Amino acid sequence: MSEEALKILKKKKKQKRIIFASQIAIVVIFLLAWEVLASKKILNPFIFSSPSRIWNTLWNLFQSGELIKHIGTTLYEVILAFSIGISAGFVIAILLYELPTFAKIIDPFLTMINSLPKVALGPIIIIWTGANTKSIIVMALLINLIVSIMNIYNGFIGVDEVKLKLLRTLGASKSQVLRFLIIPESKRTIISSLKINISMTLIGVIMGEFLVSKSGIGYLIIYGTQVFNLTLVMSGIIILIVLSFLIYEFISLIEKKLSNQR
Amino acid sequence: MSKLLDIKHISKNYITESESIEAIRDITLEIEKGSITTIVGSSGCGKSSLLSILSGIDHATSGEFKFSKKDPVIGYMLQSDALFPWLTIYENAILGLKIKKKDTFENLEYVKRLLDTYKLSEFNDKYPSDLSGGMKQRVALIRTLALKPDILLLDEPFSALDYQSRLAVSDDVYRIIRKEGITTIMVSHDIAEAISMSDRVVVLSKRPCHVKKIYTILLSNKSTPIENRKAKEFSIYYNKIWKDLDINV
Repeated sequence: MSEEALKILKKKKKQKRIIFASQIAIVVIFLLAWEVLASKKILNPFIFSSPSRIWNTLWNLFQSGELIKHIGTTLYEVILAFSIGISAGFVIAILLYELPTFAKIIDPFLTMINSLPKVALGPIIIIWTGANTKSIIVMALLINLIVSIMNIYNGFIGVDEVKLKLLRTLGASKSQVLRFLIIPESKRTIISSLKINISMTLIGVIMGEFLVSKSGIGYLIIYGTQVFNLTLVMSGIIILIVLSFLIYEFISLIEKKLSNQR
Repeated sequence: MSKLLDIKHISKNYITESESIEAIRDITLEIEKGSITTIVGSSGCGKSSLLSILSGIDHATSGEFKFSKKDPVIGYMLQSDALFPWLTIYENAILGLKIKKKDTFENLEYVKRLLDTYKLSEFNDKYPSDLSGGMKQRVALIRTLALKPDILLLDEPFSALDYQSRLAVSDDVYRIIRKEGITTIMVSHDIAEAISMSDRVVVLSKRPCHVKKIYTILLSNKSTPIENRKAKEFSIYYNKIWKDLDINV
């Protein structure tokens, strides 16, 4: 490698280190300022809590086994709703692609459902499916399914017209067009819809847990609000931030792996 | 030479919500077996529509065409190579065979031989992004030839290439077609390409297109397309076709 290239690489590495150090510094300064302001009573610790109180609460929850239980519940619901959402979204998108008239008929209904604030349906879902995990999954599906269908379907109809024409000249059947062209070419769209889907699923699950649950991070937050334990609420939020970050990173990893494949 | 294809009074109208566009008006042509016929015309005149009709992916509004052979195999090569970037060169070359469920040992060996003959076998496991534009076009031709077509329809197959690649690839394609002895109908807007590669040049009018003139290309010392451009009759044909096309620049 030339000296010039080495210099540029070195500069890039240095910039990366500066960015990472700055990010850590922001978090540390924020936590320190929060802790100091709360201990000096400049911020009311009853309302704003403090990092040390949150840490203690999290530690106690961990020791009692409650933390793992709540994280486990939310994760289970997220994985279930995500898997159903993405599989059903894929199958329905294929159906819409194969039946264009049907797609045109239901297009306005999909748009209507998509633009509806799903939380409004919460009470009805609880009555229909009961105050249990089922209603949480349904709530998450209401949010992630339509987005999945629309993303995957748009990927399908956006395929290269020339390649489509080529397959037609080769006499490909509809299922062959799907297998040889539509699915491989929409791989990127499908992968990026995984990212959107996981975020939507998490929103749906937490919303569901707010409405009806006996455990889960959403329950932890709503319970903390009801008993006015703001430290518990903030602990729940912190867990949620870490959990959603980890899930997102996991999906990004899958995306990277799949994108590297041709 | 015997007749392979008889096109009679083909017309095509495209109907949109607001209007009916007449693209082709009463085209009648006869295609001889083993010949190369090039159709030239101004862009958008309906040349490609005619190929789409002959390939069976579109229908004529009126008229008909008949092949002398029952159930002929039609090979269609498009303007772009349309190679699938997620498939290797070999997988791309056998795509048509797989779709038509003709991927027998004998046919796969034939594709391997074609790839080998046209110096592409060392790229069998590579992907289209690893190849030059000209090489990709050769793979696209092999994908079409793999089906052993009775007739080859070439829809401006070199238009996506730069001038030099265009000359080189058209030379390659010409050699391949001649060697395999395949009847070919090519659509082009390049008069020089048409004269240098064909036995006949069909000049179409502006839209709605109809046959304006048919030239039988007789060059002294007929050779490869690049060499054919040096023939003394070349410029005479060129000037005549240019005039017929009535191109305003």
